[in-house]
Amino acid sequence: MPYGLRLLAASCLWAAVAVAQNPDFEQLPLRISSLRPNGACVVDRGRRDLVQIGDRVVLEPRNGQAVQGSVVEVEERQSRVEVVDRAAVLPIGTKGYLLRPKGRRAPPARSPAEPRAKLPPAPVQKQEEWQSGMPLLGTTRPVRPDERPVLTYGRFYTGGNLVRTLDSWSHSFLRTGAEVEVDNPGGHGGTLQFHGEFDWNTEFSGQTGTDLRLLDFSYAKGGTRFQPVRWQVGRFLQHDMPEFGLLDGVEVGFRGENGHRVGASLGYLPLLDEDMESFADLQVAAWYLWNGDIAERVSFGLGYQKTWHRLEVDRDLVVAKARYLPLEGWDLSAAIWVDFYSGRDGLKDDSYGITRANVFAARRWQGQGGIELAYDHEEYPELLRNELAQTILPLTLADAHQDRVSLHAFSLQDEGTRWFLRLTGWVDEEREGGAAEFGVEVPGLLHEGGRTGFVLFDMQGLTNSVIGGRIEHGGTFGVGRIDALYEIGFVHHEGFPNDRDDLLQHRLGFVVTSDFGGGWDAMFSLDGTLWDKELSYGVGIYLQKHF
Amino acid sequence: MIKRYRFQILAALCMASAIAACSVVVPRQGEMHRWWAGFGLVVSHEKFPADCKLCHVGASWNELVDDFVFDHAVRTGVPLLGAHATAACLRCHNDRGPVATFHAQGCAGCHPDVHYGTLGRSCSNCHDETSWRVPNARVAHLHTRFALTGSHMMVACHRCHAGADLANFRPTDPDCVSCHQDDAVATTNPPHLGLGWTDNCDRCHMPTGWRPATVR
Repeated sequence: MPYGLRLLAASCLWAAVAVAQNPDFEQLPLRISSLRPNGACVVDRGRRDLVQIGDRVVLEPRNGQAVQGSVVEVEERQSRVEVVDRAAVLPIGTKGYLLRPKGRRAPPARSPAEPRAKLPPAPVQKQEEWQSGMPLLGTTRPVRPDERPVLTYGRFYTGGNLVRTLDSWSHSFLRTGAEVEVDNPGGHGGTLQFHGEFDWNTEFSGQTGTDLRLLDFSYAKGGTRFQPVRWQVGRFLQHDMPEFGLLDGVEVGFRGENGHRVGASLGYLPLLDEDMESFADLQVAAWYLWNGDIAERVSFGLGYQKTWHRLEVDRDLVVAKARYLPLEGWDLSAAIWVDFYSGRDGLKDDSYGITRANVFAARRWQGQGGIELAYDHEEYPELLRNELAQTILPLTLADAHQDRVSLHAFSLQDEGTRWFLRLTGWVDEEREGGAAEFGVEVPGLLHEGGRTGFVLFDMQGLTNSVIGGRIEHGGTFGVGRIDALYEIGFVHHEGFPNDRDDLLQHRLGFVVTSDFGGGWDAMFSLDGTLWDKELSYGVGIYLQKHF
Repeated sequence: MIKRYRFQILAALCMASAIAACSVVVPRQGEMHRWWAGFGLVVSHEKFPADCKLCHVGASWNELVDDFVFDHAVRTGVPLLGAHATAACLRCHNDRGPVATFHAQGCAGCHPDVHYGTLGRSCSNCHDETSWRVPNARVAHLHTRFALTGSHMMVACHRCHAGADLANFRPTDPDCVSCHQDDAVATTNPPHLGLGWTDNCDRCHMPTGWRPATVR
């Protein structure tokens, strides 16, 4: 700021202080509510506060340097103020005061003799349900879903990887698709959903395969506070019980005021693989979800699914799940899949089997760190349905299982440094093993805003063991976010009786994520692995337009 | 039919997607977050300044002042990170109920569990808020029974997990033949199928590549 302007500002400020100490003025506290160009701002005092054009204002930003101004325009509840120092930084919310002459008074009140205009009676507001905590203002009538304009959300995307490994391009692929959601099509208050994609994959022996996939094409209505019954028809992921999978059919659910939900579904189950063949597995399912309160901090769910494979009785599946989500404390969740077997299931002797289970517990301390504990169990269910598109030997199907426990703990230091530890232990029908990963992420090591990580890891797998380290760096640059990684691993393959069972493996990864604006974003990746004189590399691109 | 015209279909879909993507007009930031009369009262204004003209201009609630900015972090204490920053208000503030309920439940409060409930609740172990893409899934694979070594490091997920493109990561048996039986059958020099070599690949091969192999 030029010296002369400083002198002028200081003089004005001195004058303002002198006026403020004048017993003829009183201080009217105010606050900046918005900013205007050319050093002007709007304060939240106006004509109703007896403010007039020319009144002096002193603003007190947090840097302690008071700024002088004067009122140039007055409205009922706000005034526009021009400050002397137009370069002063005055954020919205800056406090200050206006110097108002004590003798200034409001215009005389209406004479008692003057007849009052008869005011219309206040409108009686209809009490809407879900008053407590509702997202809309409760004293107005919210617009119903079928009264809203048609609105479309979604994205188009194209992504692919060109991969060269073992003198072959046989791991390359391309996916392109669209995901669109239309709210209130036709003015009925429902939602139309579509997600489809086209896939091109290189296959074994240099052949290629293509798939047109329809992941979602459905119409849903209800499930709002105005309409507790929700139904959905078409192909979709089951809403209340995603554990039951995709469905070609219909789902109906009811949500009570206390948050409890009950529902049922009927239809065919598409196979969850690349072909997504359907109309072979008929299912009927029902469930009940109990919520402790409207905030759903405690919930339990129980569902039953019965399937027929080509009209032959196949699966009896029960899924139970629970969630405890306190405001402060441990976040707990658990789910279990139980298959009930009958005499038709020859490989599973037991009357029931726990096909899958997971338990998750997490605790976070704001700004300090957190800890996550997880347990997973999985084994193969015996099904007529060809759910697993791979070769499973009968003995494997009968006995194979895996139990895994994992711990992830991290600590945040004041300067932003993050220490973390991941431990995993597993046991299956053959042996046991695990992995340990310990590292630190340091902010600002190479440049401001970047994070650099150093990680050491050791793992004992089913047929191999790896010990190694990794250096990672990520940060925002002009083109977007760049993440780079270098990893070195000393690999030992067990049970291979030759002299090539130990090797050194290097991996280099590079990812650029960029937001071009206008809804466009992209990801470019380079990846390379070098081991035992062999090199594999891949180039990936992902382009997306969301709207 | 599809396989015969796959490249034509692919090209047509790519072109259609590109045309559609380029023709979709994304509203300006102010419009994205504007108070739209058609939506009703989306956000509680109880603590906002009393003067509506600070944000609204004209006769309709739709129009906001040119320099309107809604700082979600300051106003609500909840910063909008990544893709959430450009999402329309109604994606969260809608008729399902109090947004605080769903926000407290983390990602699962608004996003469907496309993994069919099988991968637990800790989405942030793999995903961030910018994109659902998982650029470094290979690192996470370190904590499974099957560490990715050699050529396996570059293999696309769906080659082993048949439903990976549908976010279905159900267990894959780690035996070689689970994924490589077709390779064994197709190999003619030596003729694996004819010699009965359809399992126990590790007698001759390393998991880093088919060559070299030690015939025993």
